Amino acid sequence: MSVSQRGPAVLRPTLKRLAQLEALEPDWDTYGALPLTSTALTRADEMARKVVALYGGSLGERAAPFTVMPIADGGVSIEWRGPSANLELDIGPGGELSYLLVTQGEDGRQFDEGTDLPEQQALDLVRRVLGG
Amino acid sequence: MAGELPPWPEETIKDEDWLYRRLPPIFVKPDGSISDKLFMRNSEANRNKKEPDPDISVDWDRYATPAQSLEIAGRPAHGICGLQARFPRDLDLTVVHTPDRERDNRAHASIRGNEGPGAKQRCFLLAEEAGKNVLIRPTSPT
Repeated sequence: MSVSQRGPAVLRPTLKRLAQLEALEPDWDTYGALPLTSTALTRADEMARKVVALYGGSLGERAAPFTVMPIADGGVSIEWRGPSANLELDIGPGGELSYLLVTQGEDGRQFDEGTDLPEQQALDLVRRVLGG
Repeated sequence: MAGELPPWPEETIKDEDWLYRRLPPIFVKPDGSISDKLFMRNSEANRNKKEPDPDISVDWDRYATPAQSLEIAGRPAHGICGLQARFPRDLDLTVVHTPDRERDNRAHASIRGNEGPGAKQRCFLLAEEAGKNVLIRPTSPT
């Protein structure tokens, strides 16, 4: 198993979801999707735990992901939602990080995205989104 | 044998025509919205890129109903959502008829060109629009 079910209470739904995603079989989307890689699942587990460890003390349950999604290339996406922005952190099949940030401002909705994101920048993005 | 049959002609898809995409239950978020990962496909051509798939498979409503588009995959628990062709075209994507004789799917069509800067944003917008047009709801949580 790549994903342990043991962890902080706020992460139980996330860990349960990761275990569900780990069980996806080839072609789970009917369009030829690949099973999720253990590298992506493990990194998703690590990132979720790091965010809770870093920001859970001040933010409580808000530090927990809103949802976790599979990606057809074998990757995993973690979504956090904050007061005025949502962040999707995509973890590729090899563990690489990319993101989509959707911010709701006075001028309407703004999108920002990027690839090859260093882990510390990813954690900073999560903190910004959560408002911590 | 299907391989010996002549190919179907590639026809023009009008802006107002509907395109159907199968919706795995796992892509429905806790709030009922649709994940943009529905449009981040795997493909051989995209295997090593870190961006959405530039060629998204859909079915054209001229040759398939939502029920038929679902039936072809043999996953009755999945759903079907729809987009009118003008929506991806307004995002500067291309919509073309790509009939698939090998899989006996004359309705097959492709949304092409979602690569480079803004690709994730376009996936988001496609999913948001498709979420307004869930024609057959997924019926199981997995």
